[in-house]
Amino acid sequence: MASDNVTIEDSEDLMTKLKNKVDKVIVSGSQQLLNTLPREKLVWMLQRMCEIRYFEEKAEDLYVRGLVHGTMHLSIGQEAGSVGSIATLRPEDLIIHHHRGHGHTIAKGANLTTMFAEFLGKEAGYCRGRGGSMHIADIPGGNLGATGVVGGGIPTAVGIALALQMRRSKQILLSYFGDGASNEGEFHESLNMASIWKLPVVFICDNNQYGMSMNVKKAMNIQHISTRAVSYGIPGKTVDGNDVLAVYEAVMAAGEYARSGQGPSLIDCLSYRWRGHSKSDRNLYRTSQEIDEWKHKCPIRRFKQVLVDAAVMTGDEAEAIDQAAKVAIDRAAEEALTFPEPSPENMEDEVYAL
Amino acid sequence: MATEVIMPKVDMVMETGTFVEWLKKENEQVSKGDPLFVITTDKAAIEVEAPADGILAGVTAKADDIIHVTEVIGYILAPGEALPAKAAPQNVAAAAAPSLAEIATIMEPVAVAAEAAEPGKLRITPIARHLAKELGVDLKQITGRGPRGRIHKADVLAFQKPQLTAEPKRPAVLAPAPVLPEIPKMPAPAVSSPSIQLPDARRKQVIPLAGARKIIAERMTYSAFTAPHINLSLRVDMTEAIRLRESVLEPLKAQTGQRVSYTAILARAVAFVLPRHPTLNASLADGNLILWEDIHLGIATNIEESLIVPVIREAQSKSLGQIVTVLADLTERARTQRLMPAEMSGSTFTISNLGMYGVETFNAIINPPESAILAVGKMVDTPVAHEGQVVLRSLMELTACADHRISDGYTVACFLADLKSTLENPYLLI
Amino acid sequence: MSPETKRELTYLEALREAMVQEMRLDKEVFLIGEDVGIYGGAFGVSKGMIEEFGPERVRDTPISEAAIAGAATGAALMGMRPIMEIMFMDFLTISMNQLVNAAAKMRFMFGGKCSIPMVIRAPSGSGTGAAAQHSQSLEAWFVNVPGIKVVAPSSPYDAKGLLTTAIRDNNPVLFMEHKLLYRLKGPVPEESYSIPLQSGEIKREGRDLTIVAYSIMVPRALEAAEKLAAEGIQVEVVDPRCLKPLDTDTIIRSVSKTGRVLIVHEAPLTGGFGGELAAVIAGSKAFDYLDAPIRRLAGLNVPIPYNRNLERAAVPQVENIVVAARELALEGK
Repeated sequence: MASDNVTIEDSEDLMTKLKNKVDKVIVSGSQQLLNTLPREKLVWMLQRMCEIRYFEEKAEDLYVRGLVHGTMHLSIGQEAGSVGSIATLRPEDLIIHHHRGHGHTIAKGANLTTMFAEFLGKEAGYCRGRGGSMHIADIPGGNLGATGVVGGGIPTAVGIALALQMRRSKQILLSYFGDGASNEGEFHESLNMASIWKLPVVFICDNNQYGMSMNVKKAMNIQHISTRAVSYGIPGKTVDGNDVLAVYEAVMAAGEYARSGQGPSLIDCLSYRWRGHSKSDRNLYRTSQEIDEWKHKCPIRRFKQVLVDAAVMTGDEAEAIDQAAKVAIDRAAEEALTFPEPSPENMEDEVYAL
Repeated sequence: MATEVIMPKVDMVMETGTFVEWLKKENEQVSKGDPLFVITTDKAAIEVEAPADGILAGVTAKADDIIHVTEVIGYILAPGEALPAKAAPQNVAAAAAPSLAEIATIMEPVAVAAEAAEPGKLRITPIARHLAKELGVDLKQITGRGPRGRIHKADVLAFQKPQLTAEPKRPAVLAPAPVLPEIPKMPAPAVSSPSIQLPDARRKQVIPLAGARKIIAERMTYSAFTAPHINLSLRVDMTEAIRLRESVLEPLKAQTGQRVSYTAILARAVAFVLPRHPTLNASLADGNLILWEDIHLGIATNIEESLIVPVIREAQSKSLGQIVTVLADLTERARTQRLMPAEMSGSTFTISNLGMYGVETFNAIINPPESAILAVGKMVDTPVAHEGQVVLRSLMELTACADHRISDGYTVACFLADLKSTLENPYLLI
Repeated sequence: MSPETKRELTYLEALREAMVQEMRLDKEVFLIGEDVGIYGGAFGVSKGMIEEFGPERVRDTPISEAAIAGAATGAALMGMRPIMEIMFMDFLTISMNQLVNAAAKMRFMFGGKCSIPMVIRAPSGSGTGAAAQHSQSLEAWFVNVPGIKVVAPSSPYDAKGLLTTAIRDNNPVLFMEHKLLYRLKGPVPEESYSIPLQSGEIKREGRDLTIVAYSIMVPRALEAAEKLAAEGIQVEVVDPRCLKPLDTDTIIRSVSKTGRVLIVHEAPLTGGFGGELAAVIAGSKAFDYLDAPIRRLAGLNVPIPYNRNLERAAVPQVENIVVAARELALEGK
């Protein structure tokens, strides 16, 4: 029976647990990982999370200074979701993600300068200034792009995974989307199709509890997004999306499941975004109290504490990593600001491949 | 009543099905829903069920028959029923095809003529406008036969009112063209026309002198009576030119898709030679002699008994292949009446070749405002003396007709001699 | 113009042959869509293919046009060459997000660092009584999306040659197959051949009037031209074959020659592709040769009705073309 595949932690329960342990560290089932993962891996994870945090803050800073065109969707507070999942990947594995995807892009190994360049619309950017924040991609690096249409990456994920299967590849794909996307028709068509063909993809929901302004409880009549896995006969799991090791554990298992040819899974990463949906969001739909509560569960602070408590590193070493990330970000932004603009000539020639 | 067994329609676009086989025999008992027969359509073999209980009878379909959808192929008879007397020919209830009158014409709705024609604004098609300009026709005089009085090409061509002004109009050009000097006003004929009686004969047709004919009449009169013509002839041995043509025929055909004509070779030769004789590529205007840098070669052409002169522009810088291509294009479009006015005027020198009609030699009238014209005759196999022997060579007579106000006999003779030697050693022309 | 072979295939068989030959040549080409496998395709185009290529490369899907389009887009992004079949062009509406926002745009958005070599095959058009939601011709929508090419062949020879080219093209190509053309028979060479995309063809030469038509309107225009020839009106029929990229030269040359042009298509008049063609002609050098206004004959601005006569009346038929062409030819004469 399909329900056997789904392990759901009641999210009410989880929320209560989290609320009660605001100042304490929660390690849900990740103790073994601290022992089994190599130190470099753990260091790598902390580095990436710090880089993402500082990147987002810097991007925000550039924006408020009028240097970034359009808008951007910041993932501050959700660093554990992207880092924990991508940390499980082999170098040749692939990701496809969404408009709130700076974290995924950095975790997948993007060059920070080239990223800033894209945000600033520069020729040297990942998409030569043609894509911007919402459409950032690093195709050679296995990052098959962000999409600005909610849920738009999910059907494409089906196709990517289909190609992997038809070529008998050992690669897998992580397909990211938000809680709002799980209500799009394309989500359902795609999970069904991936499921019947047992495609090598892990569907990961970056659940930050809100679509744009609609709380996830109002947008669905079920408690957990992962329940939807039942409808498609695939495994589903809800995890604490602010616990990077918990995310790691869940995605590693799902990744191996996919790699072994057993098909897709659905993982619901419960988390929260500190900033509004986009730069024009005035946060009228949630309380500052709620936001503060979640800030206390900061995934980076928690992970640093975990690592120090487990004697993987000292407090000073953790701070050093943090500061190194800040420096790297500042340098990258400074350099990117000096890059030249793209030329508007011959744009029509870029539309079609020869 | 007997139940009909018909060829069923099993998909949207099916019109006929191919009968394969009966699954029950004639006079066999069948039950409703039993598989009764098999057909194939484009896609697959299909089993068709019996529509009723009874005895299968009156079977007409057999293997490989192609049968229209709904056609009756048998009957199922309940006890006591008999076959219908004669299977009436199927009146396939074809819906009456809508008649032409009934079909709404799905044309773009043409704005109904509620609009009054704006005063001073003419309704005229682009090609008609260009043509009118070229022919010097006054548009206000033309009645258009198109919707709301729109003037079409045919209306301009049919326009027949004679011009009252004596001034020949400047040829119209479409693209920005060099400003041509005004052709001086046509003087009155030197001799006043005596009253000449017309013969007492029955009239076949009376055609008003109008349009292109009228223009030619005016220009030829002007040229003949203003420019004192001298006409010099010589014969050119075309043997080498013929050989040249033969050797380049295939390569040029491959290159341009056209066969090299002698006219093209002549045109190339003239364009090659003329720069050395500039007074023959010149015009008199406002008391000045203008020597033209460009050689725009007019090639006098007869199209449906009208004379038109398509122009190869800047012939001096065109290779033989390019001249072949341009000439072929101009000739083709001339034939189909698709030449633009700018392409039929503005020549600086004209070639007229009547050799193809058998004429061996003739004098032509210079095409104003040019200063010379080359009249080309037929190539004739002629016995000539060559190294003590009598041989047959293909000789072609060229007559250069020039305006003696501008060029003297010597000048014209040099031009002809130059042209002759070029045509007799034509390998310089490629 | 006409291929020199006596061998005849239907348009449908020609399409199948193109796909089969390309799939034999390149293992990365595959067909995906509803009922394309065992069933042989809703219209029978893929009959026999699953037997040769197997269920992975002739792949049946659930009824999920968005996922089908996404599957094709993602596979193409990875370098495979999917052919997606959407059962009725009308249902492309469900695929629009993936086709318009992803497939058409990814190359440009990602700075030219990827390409999406996919074909979208779509049976289109009215005349089968399928009514409003199964009879549309939506080509104008896609012509207006940069990043998608649009092909509409009218003959079996063109169908095979253009589908071969579409499969080899490195961009999304919408391939419009009018349902009534499937049964049309014509000469088709057995060997594989490819017709370049931006190349129109003069299907019939004439002097008095140009008809620009595509898809089902080509055979109808040819039939109309035959009738008009008996009246002494010589019609030239120009078939652009590919709507985007468009071979404007052939059209402009023809209109410059005849001076009169009638544009015919099935899709509704307002906002249809005929407007684009008319503007191209009016803005070109052909304008100077026009001896009458540019005219369009197209579908009524209605959803396709069910009743047979209403259905016929809603789109141009041979008789309509004859009347319109005759009127245009005689205008001002």
